[in-house]
Amino acid sequence: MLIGYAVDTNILLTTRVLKRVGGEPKEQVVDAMRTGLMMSGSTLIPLFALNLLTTAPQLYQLTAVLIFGIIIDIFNTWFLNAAIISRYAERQRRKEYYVSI
Amino acid sequence: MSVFKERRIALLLLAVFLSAMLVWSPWREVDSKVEESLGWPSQFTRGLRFGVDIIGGSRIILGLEASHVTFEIAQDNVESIWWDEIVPKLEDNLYVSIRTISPPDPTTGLVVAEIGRPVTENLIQAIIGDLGIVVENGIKKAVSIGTVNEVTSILKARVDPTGLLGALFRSLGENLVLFEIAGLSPEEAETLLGKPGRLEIFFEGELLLRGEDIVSVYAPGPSTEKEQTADLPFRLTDDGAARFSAAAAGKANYPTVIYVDRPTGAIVVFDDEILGELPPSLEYDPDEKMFKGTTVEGMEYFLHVSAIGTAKDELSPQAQQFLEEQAGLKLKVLLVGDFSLNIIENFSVFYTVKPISRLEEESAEAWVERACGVKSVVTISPDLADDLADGKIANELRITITRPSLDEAMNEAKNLRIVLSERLPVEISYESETSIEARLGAKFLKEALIAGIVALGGIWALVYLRYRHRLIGFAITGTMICELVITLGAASVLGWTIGLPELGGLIIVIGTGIDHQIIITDEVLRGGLPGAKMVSLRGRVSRAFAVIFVAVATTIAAMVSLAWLGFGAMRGFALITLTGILIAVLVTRPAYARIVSAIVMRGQSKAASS
Repeated sequence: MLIGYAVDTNILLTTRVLKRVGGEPKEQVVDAMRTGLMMSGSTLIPLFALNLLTTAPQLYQLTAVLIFGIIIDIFNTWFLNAAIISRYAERQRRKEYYVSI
Repeated sequence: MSVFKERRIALLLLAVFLSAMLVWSPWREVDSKVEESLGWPSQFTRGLRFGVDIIGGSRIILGLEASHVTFEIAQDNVESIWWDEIVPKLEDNLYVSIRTISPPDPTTGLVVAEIGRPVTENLIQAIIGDLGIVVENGIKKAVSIGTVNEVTSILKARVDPTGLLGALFRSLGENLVLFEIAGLSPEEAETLLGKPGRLEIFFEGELLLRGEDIVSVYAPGPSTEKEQTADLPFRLTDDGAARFSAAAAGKANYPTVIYVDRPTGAIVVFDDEILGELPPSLEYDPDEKMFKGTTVEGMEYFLHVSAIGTAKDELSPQAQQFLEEQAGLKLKVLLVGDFSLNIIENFSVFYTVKPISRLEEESAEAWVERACGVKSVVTISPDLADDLADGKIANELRITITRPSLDEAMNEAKNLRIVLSERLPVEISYESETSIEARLGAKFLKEALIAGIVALGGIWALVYLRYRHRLIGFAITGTMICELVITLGAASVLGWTIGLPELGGLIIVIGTGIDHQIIITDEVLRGGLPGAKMVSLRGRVSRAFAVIFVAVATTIAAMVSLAWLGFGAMRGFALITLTGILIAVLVTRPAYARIVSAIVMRGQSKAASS
């Protein structure tokens, strides 16, 4: 479940940064981040609602795990992977400049 | 509103309508179990089947009746005595397979074996004679892990082969297996478990074939020769076929008696009065202390279960004597008849007492046969007997079942097929049966509803804060509701059970749903980065879908493998997630993209006109 989730945000980030033309990698990352955080936020809302408003212990556990997972995924995607990808993209771009000169 | 004429949106609305009707299913009866635990909402969820967590169910503890027996063989060639003499003797007399747990040890002469039924020291000692002795306290009620696994996998395949009923089997302790199933009373669950079958075929008073000798059982069909008769073809192993051919060659019209779960360790105690009700074809033989049947062709056969008759309220001297003799060799008494309490108390000194109550409109003959575990009595056809006498070996045989109507015969044949094709290696007893309270139930449903409304409100607010657009918030929340309804509709069509794992799946479907809607909205609304080409609305939507398709493909790959490899709860979870996501990608998301585009275009045209 969490894996499916993490994949979503990471794919969003990668396509935005590597495939799209225009803009600096930094800007692209920031742009993707805006959408990504929005996505995570919108998932966290129903999970919190379920977690706080229902009393069934099984659902409580299920949602608690998901909430933590998504929060950790935010850090993972937007700090670790974002840094790696923007570095990679900048390197690629530098190579392009080098070739074009 | 031209948007509603759009094909994609019409499809969405149609799907939502159909699903809502399926979930509601006003033409179906409200399930009383569901109504009890859910209250009024059950009126609107007639098309759904709920799991053990929501509506409760039954929990049955099955006891595997096997014994571990330690033998001591005080002779030189322990191994050959064990394998060549004791094991065949035990198998022939107890009619169960013997599994050697720890092989014979030449220095100490000790062997431990698993016997698939309850046994007593006297019984074993009487069988093996002076070949060896059962060590003191050498009989333990225990089952090896291999046997437990075999039994659970056979039962699972019988009860819930697709894993969608949410049936659960778990081994408990040494010889118990826990079985849990939703929405069924213990009696219904027991019917579903079926009579765990141990098959034996007797010919001329001897055990000829056992369950192990049958390779496969084919689908039953109506007989071409006789009316109201069903044929059940099956195939024997080469070894079994050779034995059968040797025994039955030239014996036309000889009866073979097929037993399932013959109560080997029990004595049938019957009420003398029922003897008067029996047809001439079944009578009691006081010398052999067994029932004796006669076929239409006049051949006789015994029902190989010890039986003794007595009056209802007073134990006859013969019965008293017989029961005292057999104490220690037999363990159980099966009551065929309504006996008085003091007689039953009398029995329970030496035996476990189990009443076999008479079914409605059951004939005395059927009652006795049921108590003895007789499934059918088949005669060898003259053609087959001739063929066998000519030296042919028949692997393919048929059981013919004649009943008052063809339907009944076919039903019996189908039941017999299940029993034959999934035999259990050990005897099984029902240790306890409890019905489980609904763990989530009506209170949970109310809470989930409130949580759902709060979540929708929260998402609407978040979307509004981000895009400053009321309509988009409504479009997103509306699409979420549609997705939920359609997935539930699909679950209803496919007859899935909604339990906790499936609820988890629904949460994911909705969660990823919002994600993808936000990706679409972002792509459509953003003005593009500096330096980038302005892309048309259609192009932007298709760009959003590129991201979505990759993400969905990954999730689908994960879920397909989970559905393929997983079992029980895992499979239910994976299947519902898979369906939900497919529906979302194919139906709701394209429709949502169209709605957002329409909203954006309307905004643009407004801006242009002002």
